[in-house]
Amino acid sequence: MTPSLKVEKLVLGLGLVGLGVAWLLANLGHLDLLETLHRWWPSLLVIWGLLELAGAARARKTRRSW
Amino acid sequence: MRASKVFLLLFILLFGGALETAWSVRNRVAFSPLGCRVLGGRFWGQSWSYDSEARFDAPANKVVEVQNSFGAVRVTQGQPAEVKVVLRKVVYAGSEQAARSFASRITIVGRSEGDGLRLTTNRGEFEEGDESRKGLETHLEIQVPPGTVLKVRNEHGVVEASDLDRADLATSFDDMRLVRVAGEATLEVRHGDLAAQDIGGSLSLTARHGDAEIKSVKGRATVDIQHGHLTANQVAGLSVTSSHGDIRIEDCQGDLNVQAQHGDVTAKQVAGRAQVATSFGDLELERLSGEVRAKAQNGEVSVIEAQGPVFAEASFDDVKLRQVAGAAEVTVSHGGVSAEDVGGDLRVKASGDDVDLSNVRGTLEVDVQRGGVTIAPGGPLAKAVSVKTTFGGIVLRIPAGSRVDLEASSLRGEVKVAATGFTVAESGSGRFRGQLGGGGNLVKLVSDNGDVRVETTTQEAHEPVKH
Repeated sequence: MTPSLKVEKLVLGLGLVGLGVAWLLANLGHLDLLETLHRWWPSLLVIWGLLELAGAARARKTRRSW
Repeated sequence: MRASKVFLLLFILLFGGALETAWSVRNRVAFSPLGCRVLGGRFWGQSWSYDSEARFDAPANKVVEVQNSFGAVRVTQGQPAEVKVVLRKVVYAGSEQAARSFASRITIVGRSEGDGLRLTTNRGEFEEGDESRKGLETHLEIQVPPGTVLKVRNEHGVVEASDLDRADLATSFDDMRLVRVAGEATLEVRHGDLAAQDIGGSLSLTARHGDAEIKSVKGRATVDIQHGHLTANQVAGLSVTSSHGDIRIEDCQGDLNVQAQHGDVTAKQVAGRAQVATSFGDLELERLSGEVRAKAQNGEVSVIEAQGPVFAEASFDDVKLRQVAGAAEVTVSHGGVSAEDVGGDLRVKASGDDVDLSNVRGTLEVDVQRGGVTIAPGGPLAKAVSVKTTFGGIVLRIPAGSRVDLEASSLRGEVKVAATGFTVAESGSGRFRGQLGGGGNLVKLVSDNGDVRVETTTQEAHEPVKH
Protein backbone atom coordinates (compact mmCIF):
# COMPACT_ATOMS: atom_id res chain seq x y z
CA MET A 1 0.00 0.00 0.00
CA THR A 2 1.51 3.34 -1.09
CA PRO A 3 1.51 6.46 1.08
CA SER A 4 -0.51 8.42 -1.54
CA LEU A 5 -3.27 5.79 -1.48
CA LYS A 6 -3.42 6.13 2.28
CA VAL A 7 -3.99 9.85 1.94
CA GLU A 8 -6.95 9.28 -0.37
CA LYS A 9 -8.43 6.72 1.96
CA LEU A 10 -7.94 9.10 4.83
CA VAL A 11 -9.75 11.89 2.96
CA LEU A 12 -12.58 9.55 2.00
CA GLY A 13 -12.84 8.29 5.55
CA LEU A 14 -12.89 11.76 7.06
CA GLY A 15 -15.51 12.80 4.52
CA LEU A 16 -17.75 9.86 5.38
CA VAL A 17 -17.35 10.46 9.12
CA GLY A 18 -18.18 14.15 8.65
CA LEU A 19 -21.22 13.37 6.49
CA GLY A 20 -22.51 10.76 8.93
CA VAL A 21 -22.08 13.02 11.96
CA ALA A 22 -23.79 15.94 10.22
CA TRP A 23 -26.65 13.75 9.07
CA LEU A 24 -27.09 12.32 12.57
CA LEU A 25 -27.14 15.76 14.18
CA ALA A 26 -29.67 16.92 11.59
CA ASN A 27 -31.91 13.99 12.37
CA LEU A 28 -31.65 14.85 16.05
CA GLY A 29 -32.76 18.36 15.23
CA HIS A 30 -29.52 20.14 16.10
CA LEU A 31 -28.55 21.50 12.72
CA ASP A 32 -29.69 22.07 9.16
CA LEU A 33 -28.05 19.34 7.04
CA LEU A 34 -28.03 21.14 3.70
CA GLU A 35 -26.82 24.39 5.22
CA THR A 36 -24.01 22.60 7.12
CA LEU A 37 -22.83 20.51 4.16
CA HIS A 38 -22.99 23.50 1.86
CA ARG A 39 -20.89 25.53 4.27
CA TRP A 40 -18.24 22.91 5.06
CA TRP A 41 -17.74 20.73 1.98
CA PRO A 42 -14.70 22.71 0.64
CA SER A 43 -12.84 21.75 3.81
CA LEU A 44 -12.48 18.26 2.29
CA LEU A 45 -10.29 19.75 -0.45
CA VAL A 46 -8.31 21.73 2.14
CA ILE A 47 -7.73 18.66 4.31
CA TRP A 48 -6.74 16.56 1.30
CA GLY A 49 -4.34 19.24 0.08
CA LEU A 50 -2.73 19.56 3.49
CA LEU A 51 -2.31 15.80 3.72
CA GLU A 52 -0.75 15.72 0.25
CA LEU A 53 1.67 18.49 1.20
CA ALA A 54 2.59 16.71 4.42
CA GLY A 55 3.14 13.47 2.48
CA ALA A 56 5.31 15.18 -0.11
CA ALA A 57 7.40 16.88 2.59
CA ARG A 58 7.84 13.59 4.40
CA ALA A 59 8.94 11.86 1.16
CA ARG A 60 11.46 14.62 0.38
CA LYS A 61 12.91 14.41 3.86
CA THR A 62 13.25 10.66 3.53
CA ARG A 63 15.10 10.96 0.15
CA ARG A 64 17.56 13.54 1.61
CA SER A 65 18.31 11.33 4.57
CA TRP A 66 19.39 8.59 2.03
CA MET B 1 -1.43 11.68 -11.03
CA ARG B 2 -2.88 8.35 -10.00
CA ALA B 3 -6.29 7.32 -11.26
CA SER B 4 -7.56 6.95 -7.69
CA LYS B 5 -6.70 10.62 -7.00
CA VAL B 6 -8.49 11.70 -10.15
CA PHE B 7 -11.59 9.71 -9.15
CA LEU B 8 -11.57 11.06 -5.61
CA LEU B 9 -11.16 14.63 -6.85
CA LEU B 10 -14.01 14.21 -9.31
CA PHE B 11 -16.16 12.64 -6.60
CA ILE B 12 -15.58 15.52 -4.19
CA LEU B 13 -16.18 18.14 -6.88
CA LEU B 14 -19.40 16.44 -7.99
CA PHE B 15 -20.54 16.18 -4.37
CA GLY B 16 -19.81 19.87 -3.86
CA GLY B 17 -21.50 20.77 -7.11
CA ALA B 18 -24.64 18.90 -6.07
CA LEU B 19 -24.67 20.71 -2.75
CA GLU B 20 -24.24 24.09 -4.42
CA THR B 21 -27.07 23.31 -6.82
CA ALA B 22 -29.37 22.22 -4.01
CA TRP B 23 -28.51 25.33 -2.04
CA SER B 24 -29.16 27.54 -5.02
CA VAL B 25 -32.50 25.87 -5.70
CA ARG B 26 -33.49 26.24 -2.07
CA ASN B 27 -32.67 29.93 -1.94
CA ARG B 28 -33.15 31.38 -5.38
CA VAL B 29 -35.95 29.23 -6.73
CA ALA B 30 -37.47 29.48 -3.26
CA PHE B 31 -38.08 25.78 -2.85
CA SER B 32 -37.82 26.36 0.84
CA PRO B 33 -40.72 25.74 3.19
CA LEU B 34 -42.05 29.22 2.59
CA GLY B 35 -41.35 28.78 -1.07
CA CYS B 36 -43.96 26.03 -1.11
CA ARG B 37 -46.66 28.66 -1.21
CA VAL B 38 -45.81 29.17 -4.84
CA LEU B 39 -46.73 25.56 -5.47
CA GLY B 40 -49.90 25.88 -3.45
CA GLY B 41 -48.75 23.14 -1.13
CA ARG B 42 -48.05 22.80 2.51
CA PHE B 43 -44.87 22.95 4.49
CA TRP B 44 -42.97 19.75 4.92
CA GLY B 45 -40.15 18.40 6.99
CA GLN B 46 -39.51 18.44 10.73
CA SER B 47 -41.41 20.97 12.78
CA TRP B 48 -41.97 22.17 16.34
CA SER B 49 -45.09 23.73 17.86
CA TYR B 50 -45.33 26.54 20.39
CA ASP B 51 -48.42 28.16 21.88
CA SER B 52 -49.07 31.68 23.08
CA GLU B 53 -52.23 33.36 24.29
CA ALA B 54 -53.66 36.88 24.41
CA ARG B 55 -56.88 38.49 25.60
CA PHE B 56 -58.48 41.69 24.39
CA ASP B 57 -61.49 43.72 25.47
CA ALA B 58 -64.58 43.06 23.43
CA PRO B 59 -64.89 45.70 20.68
CA ALA B 60 -67.63 48.27 21.07
CA ASN B 61 -69.30 47.54 17.75
CA LYS B 62 -68.64 43.81 18.02
CA VAL B 63 -66.68 43.76 14.78
CA VAL B 64 -63.70 41.40 14.88
CA GLU B 65 -61.43 41.23 11.84
CA VAL B 66 -58.86 38.47 11.49
CA GLN B 67 -56.06 38.29 8.98
CA ASN B 68 -53.82 35.27 8.66
CA SER B 69 -51.99 33.05 6.24
CA PHE B 70 -50.54 29.55 6.38
CA GLY B 71 -52.62 28.41 9.26
CA ALA B 72 -56.12 27.74 10.42
CA VAL B 73 -58.51 30.31 11.83
CA ARG B 74 -61.11 28.82 14.18
CA VAL B 75 -63.65 31.12 15.78
CA THR B 76 -66.14 30.06 18.45
CA GLN B 77 -68.38 31.84 20.90
CA GLY B 78 -66.77 32.76 24.22
CA GLN B 79 -67.29 35.20 27.08
CA PRO B 80 -69.28 38.42 26.54
CA ALA B 81 -66.63 40.92 27.57
CA GLU B 82 -63.45 39.64 25.96
CA VAL B 83 -61.82 38.20 22.90
CA LYS B 84 -59.45 35.34 23.65
CA VAL B 85 -56.81 34.32 21.12
CA VAL B 86 -54.62 31.24 21.24
CA LEU B 87 -51.84 31.22 18.67
CA ARG B 88 -50.19 27.91 17.82
CA LYS B 89 -46.96 28.49 15.97
CA VAL B 90 -45.62 25.56 13.97
CA VAL B 91 -42.07 26.19 12.82
CA TYR B 92 -40.37 24.12 10.13
CA ALA B 93 -36.65 24.55 10.67
CA GLY B 94 -33.42 22.62 10.60
CA SER B 95 -33.10 22.41 14.38
CA GLU B 96 -35.24 22.73 17.47
CA GLN B 97 -33.09 25.59 18.72
CA ALA B 98 -33.62 27.56 15.52
CA ALA B 99 -37.35 26.79 15.63
CA ARG B 100 -37.71 27.94 19.24
CA SER B 101 -35.73 31.10 18.62
CA PHE B 102 -37.85 31.91 15.58
CA ALA B 103 -41.14 31.09 17.28
CA SER B 104 -40.34 33.35 20.22
CA ARG B 105 -40.45 36.33 17.88
CA ILE B 106 -43.87 35.49 16.41
CA THR B 107 -46.60 37.21 18.37
CA ILE B 108 -50.31 37.91 18.29
CA VAL B 109 -51.09 41.43 17.13
CA GLY B 110 -54.40 42.93 18.18
CA ARG B 111 -55.30 46.54 17.68
CA SER B 112 -58.45 48.61 17.68
CA GLU B 113 -59.52 50.03 14.34
CA GLY B 114 -62.45 52.33 14.72
CA ASP B 115 -64.68 50.59 17.18
CA GLY B 116 -63.62 47.15 15.99
CA LEU B 117 -60.76 44.81 16.80
CA ARG B 118 -58.25 43.63 14.22
CA LEU B 119 -56.33 40.46 14.97
CA THR B 120 -53.31 39.15 13.12
CA THR B 121 -49.73 38.05 13.74
CA ASN B 122 -46.41 39.66 12.96
CA ARG B 123 -45.43 36.86 10.59
CA GLY B 124 -45.22 39.34 7.74
CA GLU B 125 -42.07 40.81 9.29
CA PHE B 126 -40.20 37.54 8.73
CA GLU B 127 -41.07 36.79 5.16
CA GLU B 128 -37.94 38.47 3.83
CA GLY B 129 -34.27 37.60 4.34
CA ASP B 130 -32.87 34.51 6.04
CA GLU B 131 -35.95 33.92 8.17
CA SER B 132 -38.01 33.35 5.04
CA ARG B 133 -36.31 29.98 4.71
CA LYS B 134 -38.15 28.74 7.77
CA GLY B 135 -41.65 27.44 7.30
CA LEU B 136 -44.16 28.94 9.67
CA GLU B 137 -47.77 28.03 10.29
CA THR B 138 -49.82 30.31 12.49
CA HIS B 139 -53.02 28.72 13.72
CA LEU B 140 -55.44 31.03 15.50
CA GLU B 141 -58.14 29.78 17.84
CA ILE B 142 -60.33 32.71 18.78
CA GLN B 143 -63.22 33.01 21.20
CA VAL B 144 -65.46 35.99 20.49
CA PRO B 145 -68.37 37.51 22.43
CA PRO B 146 -71.95 36.59 21.45
CA GLY B 147 -73.30 38.66 18.59
CA THR B 148 -69.94 39.21 16.94
CA VAL B 149 -69.63 40.41 13.37
CA LEU B 150 -66.67 38.48 12.02
CA LYS B 151 -64.45 39.20 9.05
CA VAL B 152 -61.68 36.75 8.18
CA ARG B 153 -59.11 36.94 5.41
CA ASN B 154 -56.96 33.84 5.33
CA GLU B 155 -54.73 32.05 2.84
CA HIS B 156 -53.52 28.48 2.91
CA GLY B 157 -55.52 27.57 5.96
CA VAL B 158 -58.86 26.29 7.16
CA VAL B 159 -61.46 28.78 8.33
CA GLU B 160 -64.05 27.49 10.79
CA ALA B 161 -66.55 29.75 12.51
CA SER B 162 -69.75 29.33 14.46
CA ASP B 163 -72.37 31.27 16.44
CA LEU B 164 -71.97 34.73 14.93
CA ASP B 165 -74.17 37.66 14.14
CA ARG B 166 -72.76 38.17 10.65
CA ALA B 167 -69.81 36.70 8.79
CA ASP B 168 -67.56 37.74 5.94
CA LEU B 169 -65.01 34.99 5.39
CA ALA B 170 -62.40 34.26 2.73
CA THR B 171 -59.70 31.64 2.44
CA SER B 172 -57.74 29.78 -0.18
CA PHE B 173 -56.05 26.43 -0.58
CA ASP B 174 -58.03 24.96 2.27
CA ASP B 175 -61.58 24.41 3.45
CA MET B 176 -64.16 26.62 5.12
CA ARG B 177 -66.94 25.69 7.53
CA LEU B 178 -69.53 28.08 8.91
CA VAL B 179 -72.37 27.19 11.28
CA ARG B 180 -75.10 29.22 12.96
CA VAL B 181 -75.05 32.81 11.77
CA ALA B 182 -77.96 35.04 12.77
CA GLY B 183 -77.64 37.46 9.86
CA GLU B 184 -76.07 37.56 6.46
CA ALA B 185 -72.92 35.75 5.42
CA THR B 186 -70.44 36.37 2.62
CA LEU B 187 -68.08 33.53 1.86
CA GLU B 188 -65.25 33.06 -0.61
CA VAL B 189 -63.13 29.96 -1.04
CA ARG B 190 -60.54 29.17 -3.65
CA HIS B 191 -59.01 25.74 -4.00
CA GLY B 192 -60.92 24.32 -1.08
CA ASP B 193 -64.31 22.96 -0.08
CA LEU B 194 -66.98 24.95 1.70
CA ALA B 195 -69.82 24.01 4.06
CA ALA B 196 -72.29 26.51 5.50
CA GLN B 197 -75.28 25.66 7.66
CA ASP B 198 -77.99 27.49 9.60
CA ILE B 199 -77.62 30.94 8.09
CA GLY B 200 -80.31 33.32 9.34
CA GLY B 201 -79.94 35.94 6.62
CA SER B 202 -78.87 36.04 3.03
CA LEU B 203 -75.85 34.13 1.82
CA SER B 204 -73.37 35.18 -0.84
CA LEU B 205 -70.94 32.48 -1.81
CA THR B 206 -68.04 32.41 -4.26
CA ALA B 207 -66.17 29.17 -4.78
CA ARG B 208 -63.43 28.19 -7.19
CA HIS B 209 -61.89 24.76 -7.58
CA GLY B 210 -63.76 23.17 -4.72
CA ASP B 211 -67.15 21.82 -3.72
CA ALA B 212 -69.72 23.81 -1.77
CA GLU B 213 -72.50 22.58 0.48
CA ILE B 214 -75.11 24.88 1.98
CA LYS B 215 -77.96 23.89 4.24
CA SER B 216 -80.75 25.74 6.01
CA VAL B 217 -80.42 29.29 4.71
CA LYS B 218 -83.28 31.54 5.81
CA GLY B 219 -82.47 34.33 3.37
CA ARG B 220 -81.80 34.21 -0.31
CA ALA B 221 -78.58 32.50 -1.34
CA THR B 222 -76.45 33.68 -4.24
CA VAL B 223 -73.79 31.25 -5.38
CA ASP B 224 -71.02 31.71 -7.91
CA ILE B 225 -69.13 28.45 -8.29
CA GLN B 226 -66.63 27.20 -10.84
CA HIS B 227 -64.85 23.88 -11.06
CA GLY B 228 -66.76 22.35 -8.18
CA HIS B 229 -70.05 20.76 -7.25
CA LEU B 230 -72.79 22.53 -5.33
CA THR B 231 -75.23 20.91 -2.92
CA ALA B 232 -77.99 23.09 -1.48
CA ASN B 233 -80.69 22.03 0.97
CA GLN B 234 -83.44 24.07 2.60
CA VAL B 235 -82.80 27.48 1.11
CA ALA B 236 -85.29 30.33 1.03
CA GLY B 237 -84.34 31.19 -2.53
CA LEU B 238 -81.35 30.46 -4.67
CA SER B 239 -79.45 32.02 -7.56
CA VAL B 240 -76.57 30.03 -8.95
CA THR B 241 -73.97 30.76 -11.57
CA SER B 242 -71.89 27.70 -12.19
CA SER B 243 -69.46 26.11 -14.59
CA HIS B 244 -67.67 22.79 -14.67
CA GLY B 245 -69.54 21.19 -11.82
CA ASP B 246 -72.82 19.53 -10.94
CA ILE B 247 -75.55 21.17 -8.90
CA ARG B 248 -77.94 19.38 -6.54
CA ILE B 249 -80.72 21.37 -4.91
CA GLU B 250 -83.40 20.08 -2.56
CA ASP B 251 -86.14 22.05 -0.85
CA CYS B 252 -85.87 25.55 -2.29
CA GLN B 253 -88.60 27.54 -0.58
CA GLY B 254 -88.48 30.46 -3.00
CA ASP B 255 -87.48 31.21 -6.55
CA LEU B 256 -84.69 29.23 -8.13
CA ASN B 257 -82.43 30.67 -10.78
CA VAL B 258 -79.59 28.58 -12.15
CA GLN B 259 -77.24 29.44 -14.99
CA ALA B 260 -74.84 26.55 -15.38
CA GLN B 261 -72.30 25.39 -17.92
CA HIS B 262 -70.69 22.00 -18.29
CA GLY B 263 -72.60 20.34 -15.49
CA ASP B 264 -75.76 18.52 -14.51
CA VAL B 265 -78.44 20.27 -12.49
CA THR B 266 -80.83 18.41 -10.21
CA ALA B 267 -83.49 20.34 -8.31
CA LYS B 268 -86.18 18.76 -6.16
CA GLN B 269 -89.00 20.47 -4.32
CA VAL B 270 -88.95 24.07 -5.48
CA ALA B 271 -91.72 26.25 -4.06
CA GLY B 272 -91.21 29.30 -6.28
CA ARG B 273 -90.43 29.95 -9.88
CA ALA B 274 -87.68 27.79 -11.34
CA GLN B 275 -85.55 29.14 -14.13
CA VAL B 276 -82.77 26.69 -14.85
CA ALA B 277 -80.33 26.52 -17.74
CA THR B 278 -77.25 24.45 -18.40
CA SER B 279 -75.06 23.35 -21.24
CA PHE B 280 -73.29 20.07 -21.78
CA GLY B 281 -75.23 18.59 -18.90
CA ASP B 282 -78.67 17.31 -17.99
CA LEU B 283 -81.48 19.00 -16.08
CA GLU B 284 -83.59 16.97 -13.68
CA LEU B 285 -86.36 18.93 -11.98
CA GLU B 286 -88.89 17.39 -9.58
CA ARG B 287 -91.77 18.59 -7.42
CA LEU B 288 -92.06 22.14 -8.66
CA SER B 289 -94.79 24.48 -7.47
CA GLY B 290 -94.27 27.50 -9.69
CA GLU B 291 -93.50 28.25 -13.29
CA VAL B 292 -90.67 26.23 -14.75
CA ARG B 293 -88.30 27.40 -17.44
CA ALA B 294 -85.71 24.76 -18.22
CA LYS B 295 -83.11 24.90 -20.94
CA ALA B 296 -80.32 22.45 -21.68
CA GLN B 297 -77.91 22.81 -24.54
CA ASN B 298 -76.42 19.44 -25.40
CA GLY B 299 -78.30 17.86 -22.55
CA GLU B 300 -81.56 16.26 -21.46
CA VAL B 301 -84.39 18.03 -19.67
CA SER B 302 -86.56 16.05 -17.29
CA VAL B 303 -89.48 17.69 -15.45
CA ILE B 304 -91.51 15.62 -12.99
CA GLU B 305 -94.45 16.78 -10.87
CA ALA B 306 -94.81 20.41 -11.89
CA GLN B 307 -97.80 22.42 -10.72
CA GLY B 308 -97.27 25.50 -12.86
CA PRO B 309 -96.61 26.02 -16.53
CA VAL B 310 -93.50 24.44 -17.99
CA PHE B 311 -91.27 25.80 -20.72
CA ALA B 312 -88.63 23.26 -21.67
CA GLU B 313 -85.93 23.56 -24.28
CA ALA B 314 -83.19 21.10 -25.18
CA SER B 315 -80.74 20.40 -27.94
CA PHE B 316 -79.02 17.20 -28.95
CA ASP B 317 -80.98 15.29 -26.31
CA ASP B 318 -84.53 14.63 -25.15
CA VAL B 319 -87.15 16.38 -23.07
CA LYS B 320 -89.20 14.30 -20.65
CA LEU B 321 -92.30 15.60 -18.90
CA ARG B 322 -94.19 13.64 -16.23
CA GLN B 323 -97.18 14.80 -14.20
CA VAL B 324 -97.35 18.41 -15.33
CA ALA B 325 -100.52 20.05 -14.02
CA GLY B 326 -100.38 23.18 -16.15
CA ALA B 327 -99.57 24.01 -19.71
CA ALA B 328 -96.27 23.05 -21.28
CA GLU B 329 -94.24 24.28 -24.19
CA VAL B 330 -91.40 22.13 -25.43
CA THR B 331 -88.77 22.96 -28.02
CA VAL B 332 -86.16 20.40 -28.96
CA SER B 333 -83.60 20.37 -31.70
CA HIS B 334 -81.93 17.07 -32.52
CA GLY B 335 -83.84 15.22 -29.82
CA GLY B 336 -87.12 13.61 -28.92
CA VAL B 337 -89.94 14.38 -26.52
CA SER B 338 -91.72 12.14 -24.07
CA ALA B 339 -94.64 13.54 -22.11
CA GLU B 340 -97.04 11.79 -19.73
CA ASP B 341 -99.89 13.21 -17.69
CA VAL B 342 -99.97 16.81 -18.84
CA GLY B 343 -103.03 18.63 -17.51
CA GLY B 344 -102.82 21.83 -19.57
CA ASP B 345 -102.20 22.68 -23.17
CA LEU B 346 -99.10 21.17 -24.70
CA ARG B 347 -97.14 22.66 -27.55
CA VAL B 348 -94.24 20.68 -28.95
CA LYS B 349 -91.72 21.62 -31.58
CA ALA B 350 -89.08 19.01 -32.18
CA SER B 351 -86.61 17.77 -34.75
CA GLY B 352 -84.45 14.74 -35.17
CA ASP B 353 -86.27 12.19 -33.01
CA ASP B 354 -89.67 10.82 -32.03
CA VAL B 355 -92.35 12.43 -29.91
CA ASP B 356 -94.40 10.21 -27.58
CA LEU B 357 -97.30 11.82 -25.78
CA SER B 358 -99.71 10.10 -23.43
CA ASN B 359 -102.51 11.36 -21.27
CA VAL B 360 -102.37 14.98 -22.39
CA ARG B 361 -105.65 16.61 -21.37
CA GLY B 362 -105.28 20.06 -22.90
CA THR B 363 -105.00 21.34 -26.45
CA LEU B 364 -102.21 19.62 -28.31
CA GLU B 365 -100.07 21.27 -30.94
CA VAL B 366 -97.14 19.28 -32.32
CA ASP B 367 -94.69 20.11 -35.06
CA VAL B 368 -91.97 17.55 -35.70
CA GLN B 369 -89.27 17.31 -38.35
CA ARG B 370 -87.47 14.03 -39.00
CA GLY B 371 -89.38 12.16 -36.34
CA GLY B 372 -92.60 10.34 -35.72
CA VAL B 373 -95.39 11.19 -33.32
CA THR B 374 -97.42 8.85 -31.13
CA ILE B 375 -100.36 10.24 -29.20
CA ALA B 376 -102.29 8.20 -26.67
CA PRO B 377 -104.71 10.36 -24.69
CA GLY B 378 -105.64 8.90 -21.32
CA GLY B 379 -109.34 9.69 -21.67
CA PRO B 380 -111.83 10.91 -24.28
CA LEU B 381 -110.37 13.73 -26.35
CA ALA B 382 -111.64 16.97 -24.87
CA LYS B 383 -109.47 19.50 -26.69
CA ALA B 384 -108.22 20.15 -30.19
CA VAL B 385 -105.24 18.25 -31.56
CA SER B 386 -102.96 19.48 -34.31
CA VAL B 387 -100.00 17.41 -35.44
CA LYS B 388 -97.67 18.11 -38.30
CA THR B 389 -94.67 15.98 -39.24
CA THR B 390 -92.03 16.14 -41.91
CA PHE B 391 -90.30 12.82 -42.58
CA GLY B 392 -92.15 10.97 -39.83
CA GLY B 393 -95.36 9.07 -39.24
CA ILE B 394 -98.27 9.85 -36.94
CA VAL B 395 -100.12 7.41 -34.71
CA LEU B 396 -103.20 8.59 -32.81
CA ARG B 397 -105.05 6.29 -30.44
CA ILE B 398 -108.45 7.76 -29.76
CA PRO B 399 -110.04 6.60 -26.53
CA ALA B 400 -113.61 5.44 -26.58
CA GLY B 401 -116.16 8.18 -25.96
CA SER B 402 -114.26 10.85 -27.84
CA ARG B 403 -116.16 13.32 -30.01
CA VAL B 404 -113.92 14.58 -32.80
CA ASP B 405 -113.80 16.03 -36.25
CA LEU B 406 -110.86 14.28 -37.86
CA GLU B 407 -108.83 15.64 -40.73
CA ALA B 408 -105.86 13.46 -41.65
CA SER B 409 -103.62 13.75 -44.66
CA SER B 410 -100.27 12.52 -45.91
CA LEU B 411 -98.55 13.93 -48.95
CA ARG B 412 -96.31 10.94 -49.68
CA GLY B 413 -97.72 8.28 -47.33
CA GLU B 414 -100.90 6.50 -46.43
CA VAL B 415 -103.71 7.42 -44.09
CA LYS B 416 -105.22 4.45 -42.24
CA VAL B 417 -108.17 4.90 -39.92
CA ALA B 418 -108.62 1.59 -38.11
CA ALA B 419 -111.35 2.84 -35.87
CA THR B 420 -114.99 2.06 -35.62
CA GLY B 421 -117.80 4.59 -35.34
CA PHE B 422 -116.49 7.15 -37.78
CA THR B 423 -118.84 8.95 -40.14
CA VAL B 424 -116.66 9.28 -43.22
CA ALA B 425 -116.91 12.46 -45.25
CA GLU B 426 -113.86 11.88 -47.41
CA SER B 427 -111.48 8.91 -47.66
CA GLY B 428 -108.54 8.18 -49.93
CA SER B 429 -105.03 6.72 -49.76
CA GLY B 430 -103.55 9.99 -48.56
CA ARG B 431 -106.52 11.71 -47.02
CA PHE B 432 -109.31 11.10 -44.53
CA ARG B 433 -112.03 13.37 -43.20
CA GLY B 434 -114.82 12.28 -40.87
CA GLN B 435 -116.55 12.57 -37.54
CA LEU B 436 -116.53 10.41 -34.44
CA GLY B 437 -119.28 10.53 -31.85
CA GLY B 438 -121.15 13.13 -33.83
CA GLY B 439 -118.15 15.46 -34.07
CA GLY B 440 -116.57 17.86 -31.66
CA ASN B 441 -112.95 18.87 -31.22
CA LEU B 442 -110.92 19.29 -34.37
CA VAL B 443 -108.14 16.71 -34.75
CA LYS B 444 -105.82 17.60 -37.59
CA LEU B 445 -103.03 15.22 -38.54
CA VAL B 446 -100.70 16.20 -41.39
CA SER B 447 -97.62 14.33 -42.55
CA ASP B 448 -95.35 15.18 -45.46
CA ASN B 449 -93.41 11.92 -45.71
CA GLY B 450 -94.96 9.34 -43.42
CA ASP B 451 -98.04 7.30 -42.73
CA VAL B 452 -100.90 8.51 -40.57
CA ARG B 453 -102.68 5.88 -38.50
CA VAL B 454 -105.75 6.44 -36.34
CA GLU B 455 -107.15 3.76 -34.08
CA THR B 456 -109.60 3.65 -31.22
CA THR B 457 -108.83 2.04 -27.91
CA THR B 458 -110.62 1.36 -24.67
CA GLN B 459 -107.41 1.23 -22.66
CA GLU B 460 -106.03 4.25 -20.92
CA ALA B 461 -102.39 3.27 -21.03
CA HIS B 462 -100.50 2.38 -24.16
CA GLU B 463 -97.09 1.37 -25.29
CA PRO B 464 -95.55 3.91 -27.65
CA VAL B 465 -95.45 2.87 -31.28
CA LYS B 466 -92.05 2.66 -32.93
CA HIS B 467 -91.67 4.51 -36.17
